[in-house]
Amino acid sequence: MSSFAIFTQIIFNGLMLGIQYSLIAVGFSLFFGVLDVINFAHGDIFMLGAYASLVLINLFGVLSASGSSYIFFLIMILLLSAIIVGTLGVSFERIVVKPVSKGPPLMSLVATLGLGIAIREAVRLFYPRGSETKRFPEILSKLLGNKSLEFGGVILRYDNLLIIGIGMVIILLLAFFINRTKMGVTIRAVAQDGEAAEMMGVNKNLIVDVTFFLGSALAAIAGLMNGIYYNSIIFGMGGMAGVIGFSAAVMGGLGNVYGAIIGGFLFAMTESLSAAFIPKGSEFMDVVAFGVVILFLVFRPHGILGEKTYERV
Amino acid sequence: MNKKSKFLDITKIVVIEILLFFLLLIFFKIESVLILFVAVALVVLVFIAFRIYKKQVQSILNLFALNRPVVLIILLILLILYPVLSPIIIPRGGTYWILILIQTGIYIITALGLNFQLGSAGMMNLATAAFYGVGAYTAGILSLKLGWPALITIPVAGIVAALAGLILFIPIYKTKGHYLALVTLAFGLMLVLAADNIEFLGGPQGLKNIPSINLFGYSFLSSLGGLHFYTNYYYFVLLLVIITVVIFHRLFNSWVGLTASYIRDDEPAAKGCGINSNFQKLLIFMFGNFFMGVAGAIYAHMIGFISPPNFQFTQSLLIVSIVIIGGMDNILGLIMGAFILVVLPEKLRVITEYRIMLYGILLIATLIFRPRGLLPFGPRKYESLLGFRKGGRSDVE
Amino acid sequence: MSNSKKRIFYTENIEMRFGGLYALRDISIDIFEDEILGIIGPNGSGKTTLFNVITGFYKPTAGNFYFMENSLNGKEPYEITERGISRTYQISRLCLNLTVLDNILIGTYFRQRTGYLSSLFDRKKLLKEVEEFKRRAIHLLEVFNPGIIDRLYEPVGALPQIDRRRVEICRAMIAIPKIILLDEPSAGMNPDETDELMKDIWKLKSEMENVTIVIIEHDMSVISAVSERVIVLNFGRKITEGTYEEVCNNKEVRESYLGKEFVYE
Repeated sequence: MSSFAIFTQIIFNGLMLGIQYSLIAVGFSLFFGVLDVINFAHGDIFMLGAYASLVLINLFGVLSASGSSYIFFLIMILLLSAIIVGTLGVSFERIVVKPVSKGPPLMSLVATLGLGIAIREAVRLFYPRGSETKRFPEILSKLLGNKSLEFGGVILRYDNLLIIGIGMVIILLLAFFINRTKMGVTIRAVAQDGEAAEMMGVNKNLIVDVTFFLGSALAAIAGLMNGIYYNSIIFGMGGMAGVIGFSAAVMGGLGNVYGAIIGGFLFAMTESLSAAFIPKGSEFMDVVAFGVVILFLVFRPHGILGEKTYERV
Repeated sequence: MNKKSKFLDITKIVVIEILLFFLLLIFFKIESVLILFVAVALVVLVFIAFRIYKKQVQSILNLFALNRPVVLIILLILLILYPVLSPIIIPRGGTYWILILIQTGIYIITALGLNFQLGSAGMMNLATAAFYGVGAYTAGILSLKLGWPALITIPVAGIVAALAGLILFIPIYKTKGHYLALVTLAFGLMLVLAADNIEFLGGPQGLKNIPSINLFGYSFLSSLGGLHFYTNYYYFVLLLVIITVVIFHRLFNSWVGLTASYIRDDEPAAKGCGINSNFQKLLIFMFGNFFMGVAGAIYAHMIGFISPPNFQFTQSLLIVSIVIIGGMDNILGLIMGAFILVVLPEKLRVITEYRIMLYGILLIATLIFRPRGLLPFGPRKYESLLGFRKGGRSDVE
Repeated sequence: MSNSKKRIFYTENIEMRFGGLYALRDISIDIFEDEILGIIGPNGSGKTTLFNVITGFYKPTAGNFYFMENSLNGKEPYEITERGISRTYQISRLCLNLTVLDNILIGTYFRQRTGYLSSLFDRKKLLKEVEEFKRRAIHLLEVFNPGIIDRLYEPVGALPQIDRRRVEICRAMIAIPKIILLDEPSAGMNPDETDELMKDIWKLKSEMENVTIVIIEHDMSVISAVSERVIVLNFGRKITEGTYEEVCNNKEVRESYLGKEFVYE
């Protein structure tokens, strides 16, 4: 492959992964911002998104539809799985996360860890033959065929390009929401200083609910994308995804949505580059990327866009 | 306290302990699932009865608390006799239970190491299984490829695990708690990846034929007085568990334990008292890791075969559960937690599939309803039994 | 002001900036041996921030400070405590689940000679040290409130507020520092308790010769009763210093508390 082709492929892979990681990372950042809690169950929410989408696809017999109704179904799947998992996210927040967020941070860490495990195992035990890898249908191929965009030695599948496109749109919508809408600004306010916001009359509990809904919905969409991209899902997929999402959020600065997005793409690009240039790279790309995270922790622990906080003494 | 009532007390204690011991053996012996559930139901009933008959229960507990030397000596005798009595009372499968008890002992050592980090100092180590694995692989490689004897590989494995902790700790030296959680979590995942992909470590196949322990010519594979060779490991692990318990008990009842508690509960205040908390945390982290490495090494020699799936995150979760559910910074609670979380699922085969999910749910429930764990920890008494204080009581006790 | 006393601590133009916000600006103060110094000022004037800088929790963005002729710039809190400056906190920082005794003994940390090795292998040596420090702790408690001694092994959270304050002060005292910083010790106390507190401060002074007490307070009755000298801060700057009476008559001080329109010439 020519260097142009390699370059484009790296960027493409980076974008593909970056969108997923960013969507998960945003959740971690937001949860930390509004509730001061690291939600280790968030990766498994990502997994729930993938499984919810699969269930919906099979439920609606989507694959047998065609044409414009097919597009309609696809959009419905996207929205429904986001809403369902978003709601689940809020329920988990109410039942587990918020009660433990009041105690020492250690407690919420372990409690959310336990929650994630419980969710993971529940899928493994109660989804029919849950311990096996499940095939995720290539739902976009039906729309676009197996066609690819080809130029200069590069081959990019149209369906993957569509995923990237939709992902970008979602991220832009998120940025708009966080920046321009009243709700978005309120969330940012609570994330920065919950007490002050409350004194201004903000209903903090409502904001926390909205935040968890939003974060979980985004992670669910990432799960759906992951399913389409890899054509398979497994009950344990949330483990690594959660750790990566958390790392990306840390790199970008916990509590900062833009930082989470940047962190997600940064992590993905590092993985993409390692896979391309390091021998046995695709096995070790996670290791290299985590190495970069460690470097960040050493030199800039508060992240790219994070602010240095001073311990209240 | 006259001699006659003292003698009566001691007799009561002996009787109760022997009774509990045989109940345990019978519990192991029962095969029928139905009888098992009846047994569990009975235990639950007993617990309820305890709440009603609080006074009597309290007096028994006081009895035990005031006569700790006797309690421990009887316990020791019973533990020593167990491998002898077990094959007699449980002719089939008795050996299996010895293995389970050994495994529980190994987990107790691991959990005590984690407890020092997490329960005493509030440091979140999510890579317990990975450090355990570092110890196991170190022992495996040193004995397999270099022929080193177990007496050397085991402590060396501990040291290597401690050093691994040092390396991991440096980048996050000055940061907050959740960064340690992230770094250890990532390390755990990385270790399994590395072990799977590095030929030197045996790859996905792992290491086979790791030599058993050979103590000055006596091979642990030989039968001990007609008993199964596991019995060798049983006494070995029992001894190490006792040593480990004494070590951490003494550390708890000393400046080390107090410093750790302060770092855990209020780190700025600790700094204000002159504690270099970052450095102390590093020491604590390394010290705890040492025991995880030792435990892993013992496992490697005993089973003779290790591979990446042995050291996955679910094992870390188990150890974390033992510490949190059993009782943070509470050795007795931890031991109880180990028995509940390791031995019980072995017996209640029905729930084995659901084991991991139950750990998760139990963790959540414990943290919401009983965050201090099964047994609340008692006040620190510097002059305490396993510190072998000389006879007589301190006047302030 | 007593010129005969030795100056043991001073700052030069300390500035503490958080982003664009100046919490402390151009702070130059002296602290002398064997005095009781009060620090007052409206909320947000930088008093606790000053304590945090002195004890190393915040590193000043500009300026220097010296203790016993040694620079403390950049030193960590534990290093500063070791040198002889200890403190209490605006919101009590005690480990509520640990015993009263534990909460006081931790104050002896950097004077402890026994560590891991002795804890494991030489218990006699450890226990001797524990006994010695325990005696000191009991002696201190006798000064403030002998009643606490009966509750030495109870969790400190079981004690009433004023006794908890006393425990915190004992913790700061037990290692015999040269300077003790008390941050709003009367916060949350009713008038009777505040009275007790004032007596406590006198007892503290008589118990430890040559110790310097620096006290941040909002309750002027405490300041007027105990301080020999007062420094006033406002908006992060030092407005003035002097005796309590001098400072009260200062126009700028009264304006900072009451507002310009309420101060008449």
